[in-house]
Amino acid sequence: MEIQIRTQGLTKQYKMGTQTVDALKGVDLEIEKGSFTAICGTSGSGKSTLLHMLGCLDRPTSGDVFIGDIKVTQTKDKKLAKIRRENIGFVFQKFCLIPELTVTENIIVPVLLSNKRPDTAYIDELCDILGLSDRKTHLPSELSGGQQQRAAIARALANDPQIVLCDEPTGNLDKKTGEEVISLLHEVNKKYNKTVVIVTHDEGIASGADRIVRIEDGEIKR
Amino acid sequence: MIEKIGYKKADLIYSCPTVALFDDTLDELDKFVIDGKIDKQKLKDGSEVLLVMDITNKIKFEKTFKAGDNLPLSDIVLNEKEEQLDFSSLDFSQLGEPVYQKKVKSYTGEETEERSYAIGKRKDINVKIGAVIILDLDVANKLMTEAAEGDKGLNVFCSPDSFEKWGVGERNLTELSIKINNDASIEDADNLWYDTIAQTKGISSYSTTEITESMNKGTRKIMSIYYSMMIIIALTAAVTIGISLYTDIRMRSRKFAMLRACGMSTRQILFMICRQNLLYPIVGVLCSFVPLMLCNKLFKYIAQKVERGEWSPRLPIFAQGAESVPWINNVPYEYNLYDSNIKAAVIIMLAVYFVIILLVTMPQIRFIRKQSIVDEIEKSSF
Repeated sequence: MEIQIRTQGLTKQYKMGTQTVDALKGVDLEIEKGSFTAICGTSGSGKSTLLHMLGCLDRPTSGDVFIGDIKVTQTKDKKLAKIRRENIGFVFQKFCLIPELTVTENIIVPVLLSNKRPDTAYIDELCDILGLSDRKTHLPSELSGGQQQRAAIARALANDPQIVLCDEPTGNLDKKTGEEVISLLHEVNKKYNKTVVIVTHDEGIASGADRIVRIEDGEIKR
Repeated sequence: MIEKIGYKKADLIYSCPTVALFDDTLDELDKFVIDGKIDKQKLKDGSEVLLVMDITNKIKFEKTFKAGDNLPLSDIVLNEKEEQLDFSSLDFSQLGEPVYQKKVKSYTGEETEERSYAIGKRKDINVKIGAVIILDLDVANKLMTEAAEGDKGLNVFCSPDSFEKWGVGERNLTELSIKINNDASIEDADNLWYDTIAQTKGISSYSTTEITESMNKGTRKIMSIYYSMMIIIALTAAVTIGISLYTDIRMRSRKFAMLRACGMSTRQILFMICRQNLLYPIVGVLCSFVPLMLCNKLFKYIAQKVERGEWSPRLPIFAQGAESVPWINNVPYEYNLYDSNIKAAVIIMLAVYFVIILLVTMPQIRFIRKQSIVDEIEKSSF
């Protein structure tokens, strides 16, 4: 299988006053293309930090991250932004929709940032699959938590990226809605052959993944 | 025929116009007398004159002259600047060398040559000041002769018979004059003129130079207040704009982080912020233009009304009209670009705005560059 994301000796240290905290300690990880991977761990284990490194949102203290063949750890900001824009879609726990924009406008933000014309057929299809067809003109404040997270998923897929990274996507949702969102992510993974990486501490959600990566104190447990 | 006699080249001349009035006009002046009284008989026999000034020169002269003071006069002196006496047909070259010729600098810094010629028969005349009169501008415009261009200064009013009694010639060319040494400066001449006139009873005298200097000092003080106010207002506005824009960026920081997560580069965000910031000056100028013009016009209208004494707001400070608000004469209209050069005003305003925006944009750029996408996204709300 083709490797989509790879890390080599990835470390991340944070300064907390005079102390240095190791969030990641030499993480080596390979994620296959088209797979559904769950990164599990307790709070503070370093799972979100790892996801941020994989998504080029943060830079590691040492080690390397490869997206496909591109070594992103030494890439300049402009190119890193392009990688995020074209290769990666993010789904955050707190949805992170722009409150002033409607659902459709939120969804097409990454497309507009790529200076492309939004593919309305594709956007409509995404809205159909995610059950947002009748909410396209609504503002985020007019949507339920589940609907907002579905809009966030649609936005993550709008630019047709190969990778979808989800940071505790069910953290702000009730159990039933959370299950619906996870099932949608599985559907996205199967239907569009996207590489989905999901960070969760919910074993139930993790159990549905193709692969579970367990992380503890910044290290992957084999 | 004009006869040149009585003055030497070394003499300096300072003069003010004399105006001969008939009895009926003199009657109208009674209400403007601030000291002494108009005695028509004494005017006719040439033993008294009236010392007259307009309201704008009140501060300059009112304390210098008192009724009953002796006023030493001399006879005719022609000054090339005295156009109101209509010397257009007079050939000054026929008068020979001027009795006074000196390069002087005006208060605007412009250098001009002052020349005076002595004509007629020199005669020393001693009269008393019968009354001191301060005229309203309207009456002053009608009766007074300008001592210098645009300045009526001080006039001596007398009777048409006075000239005959004094034994001087053509009354329309008669002026009061004083002789001083040529090595004196124009300021000394000015001082001496007032000292001489005021010396009789030991009353205080102020020369035009002293008064101008004092007014300049006052103007400088007032200008410094204006400039300080302007600077304070401008700085307050700049700081307010700066804080607002910086706060705005901080409040939108999570949105920027989200956009960066979606693939917007730092450069794109900075470009967007700069573009938005550049819109503020343009909108600011457009929005402020009309209110500023209206305020400017209103202020000028009120100032002119008060200055002319046509309007006196019912506040204790304005109770005595323009005199109680001396700053009104020192409003720096000439620096009011809205009035004098609107294009320059708009350009300067835009330039100042752009400089402020530039200064404000720098910390914004620094903030965005230092911003951590992860930290911002993990904040609790937008």
